[in-house]
Amino acid sequence: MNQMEKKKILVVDDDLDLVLSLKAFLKNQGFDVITALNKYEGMDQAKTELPDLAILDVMMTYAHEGFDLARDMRKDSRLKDIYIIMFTGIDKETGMNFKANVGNPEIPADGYIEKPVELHVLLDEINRVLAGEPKNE
Amino acid sequence: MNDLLKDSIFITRTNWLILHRWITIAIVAVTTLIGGQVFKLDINEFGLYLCSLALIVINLTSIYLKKLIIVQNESSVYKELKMLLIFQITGDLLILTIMIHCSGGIENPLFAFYVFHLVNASLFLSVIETYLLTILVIIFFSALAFLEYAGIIPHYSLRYGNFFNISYYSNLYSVNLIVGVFTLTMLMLSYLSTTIGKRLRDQEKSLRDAINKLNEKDRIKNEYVIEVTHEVKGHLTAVLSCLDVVINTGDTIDKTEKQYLLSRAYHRAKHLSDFVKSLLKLTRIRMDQKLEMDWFPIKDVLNEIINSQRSNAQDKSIKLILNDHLVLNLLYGNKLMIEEAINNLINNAIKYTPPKGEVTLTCTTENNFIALVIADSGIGIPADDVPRIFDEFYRASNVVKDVETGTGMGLSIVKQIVERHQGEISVESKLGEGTKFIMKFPYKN
Repeated sequence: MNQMEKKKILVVDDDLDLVLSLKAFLKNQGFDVITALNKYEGMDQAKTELPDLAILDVMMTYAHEGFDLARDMRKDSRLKDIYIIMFTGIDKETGMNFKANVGNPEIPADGYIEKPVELHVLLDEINRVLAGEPKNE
Repeated sequence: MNDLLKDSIFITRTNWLILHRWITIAIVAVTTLIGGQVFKLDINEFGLYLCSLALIVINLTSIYLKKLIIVQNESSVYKELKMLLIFQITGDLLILTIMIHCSGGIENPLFAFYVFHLVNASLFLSVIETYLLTILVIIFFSALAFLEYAGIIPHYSLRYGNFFNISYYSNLYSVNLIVGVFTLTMLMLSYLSTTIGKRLRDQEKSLRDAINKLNEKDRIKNEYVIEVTHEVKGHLTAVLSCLDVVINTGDTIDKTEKQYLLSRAYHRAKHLSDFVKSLLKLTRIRMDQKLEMDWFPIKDVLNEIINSQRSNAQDKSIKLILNDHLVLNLLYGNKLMIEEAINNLINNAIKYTPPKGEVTLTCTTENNFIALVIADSGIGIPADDVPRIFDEFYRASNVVKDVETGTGMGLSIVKQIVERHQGEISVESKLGEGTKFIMKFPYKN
């Protein structure tokens, strides 16, 4: 981390263990981390904490909950510039090919990470997105 | 038969007719030319050429209408396609009649060609429609024969020197004979072709149903695999993530946090292992061709279960009661499996009943079966969830997600066990008041 100020990351996933381990890891990497277990908590956290980046699980209580949260955030003028990384299980679960959807206004996301993920891969993706670099396929 | 299938059948028939009509047009034109110019027959050449032209018009119209209908692109167009087919066949029959008229009337054996049209029509028309078409054929042909006989329309002869020099058309006896046999032949033909056609269609339908059933099973299986994968992947992701942090952060992370993450990884791995075990068990119960069944003392089994579950219930200060009203002590079945089913339900009842609650196991003898009822004073199941609670991986929405012991497979296993015994299982539940599972096992299958 060579940034002067700490970047704030919001992690939204319905698996508490995953959320807590990501929180421990990201904090260790020098980020401020806030967490939520569903899209409502996620929206509240986003509004009060105004994070720089949000990592959203796609399938939570229902299949596309993460997409809905991402869309809601983009609609909110204060939240629309928050970077979003979609965190997901298998493509088949949602019937979409995510990588092809970067830049798709229907599903606003700046990056996609497939579960399970090695944390250094996630970290690289976070740094790439925060630096505003395009995805190199 | 579904609509899309009908669409494809009718398109195939339309194409078939159009192709064969082109061939017919060519043959009619050539034979007319040869018959008229080479053999100098007394046929109505002009009329026959007009018939060829009419067939060309029918073909072009059909091609145009077919395109128009298909381009409509609505959900299904088989009705329009069928109308088009009926239009074509009626036109063909009329032109065939005129062609017969122009080339010798009932003296021309060409009238046998009506057979082709009827057989073709019976492939896609209903029985009644085929018979209606048959009647139309009979009317066309009889009208031709009697109008020529009565001299209302002219007769063109097929006479060829002394080789063929007959005139059936003017003899009432031969006209009646030919028309009569023709009528009978056409009716018999319709009867046969509709019967065979129906049998073919029935066979096709049953094959198609079988294919659909197999496809549906395949789809369910694929969904099942996806659900299993999702479940496994969830646990694996958590395990890997927790361990990843511990391994890759070295000493820069708090020791208690590290310890916590390790214990979470262990729990999730344990949960995953329970899940896989249940999955294997369920699959095995399902796949076992024949269960090992025998008479066993059910009363003793119930007492054992209650005794072994007692401490489990006492830990939560839950009262565990056995109401045994059984007349006989014997039940026919697989003892281990029935034990497992009862234990599963009692475990669930204890798990979802708050402290100081009550769990009751009641056994009664009914006509041909033994009823085992496991009732609790627990949290109950929301009405929306009740129909799905026996589905694999399904957990009611009011179950706290971090209750670690559930695999979402317990009730599926119970249901499989009951069904393998030709028994029945049902559930009654009131949210906040309690749940009652009723299992019925027949005495002997």
